[in-house]
Amino acid sequence: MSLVARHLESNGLPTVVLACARDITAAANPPRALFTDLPLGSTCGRPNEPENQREILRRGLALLHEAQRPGQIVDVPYDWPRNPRWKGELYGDNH
Amino acid sequence: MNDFVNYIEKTHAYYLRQGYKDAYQYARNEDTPPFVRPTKPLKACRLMLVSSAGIEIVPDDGPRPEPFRGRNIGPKGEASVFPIPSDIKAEKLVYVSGAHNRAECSMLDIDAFFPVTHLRALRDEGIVGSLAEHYLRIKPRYSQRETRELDAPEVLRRCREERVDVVLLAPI
Repeated sequence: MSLVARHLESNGLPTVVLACARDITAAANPPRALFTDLPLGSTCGRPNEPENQREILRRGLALLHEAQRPGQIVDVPYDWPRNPRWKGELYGDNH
Repeated sequence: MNDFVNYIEKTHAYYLRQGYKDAYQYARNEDTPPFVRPTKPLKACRLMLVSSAGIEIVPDDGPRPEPFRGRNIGPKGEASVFPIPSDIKAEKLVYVSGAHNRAECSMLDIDAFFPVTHLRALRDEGIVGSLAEHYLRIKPRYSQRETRELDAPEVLRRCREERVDVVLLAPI
């Protein structure tokens, strides 16, 4: 997705990427990104929490105008109350 | 704040454990990315949404697409960009793919990854000027060259056709 964003931006279209995977996004280096720190699949906010989703959208869209420099990633790490230990349970991890 | 998940490291380790010899090489760009500023305020901008979520439209006269059918990868040698009407109700969309965190995300709340309802509300409230008539879904693929050379130009073409000013991209 970051590769598409770079192509659009290099053709004159401002873009913002919403991102759950900070390292993958940072490596691909899109023009602007908002990092939410939610599990993959909840890019636009926690499921069944419309206020959280709307807040993420508002912050992401604001970045179109407010980004200070190319490649800026704004971190807005949200928690995941339904399972605070989710990060330790990925890919068969168990710790 | 550095407890971010290291997905690149974790997926490499996972696939090595599965017996794969070569780790997937994620896109890596160390240049200064392209950067243009919007020429109008957001309330005057026409917005495009681009998603890599595997979503399909429920047909009016057919069965509901089966959810979670597995990875849904773009075909080799052709662009895989699909329009989705921006006025569609979230209930008319089904997530059919499997590239998400299955333990945590049910993918039943479409707006958590393809925010059709919220974007209409933002437009109705005047926060966003207008919405593209059709949003875009792109299928993920392993070939970064095909993403750059096939999908990205097709997304650009459709963005121009829709006369959008800004683009929101939401990967899975």
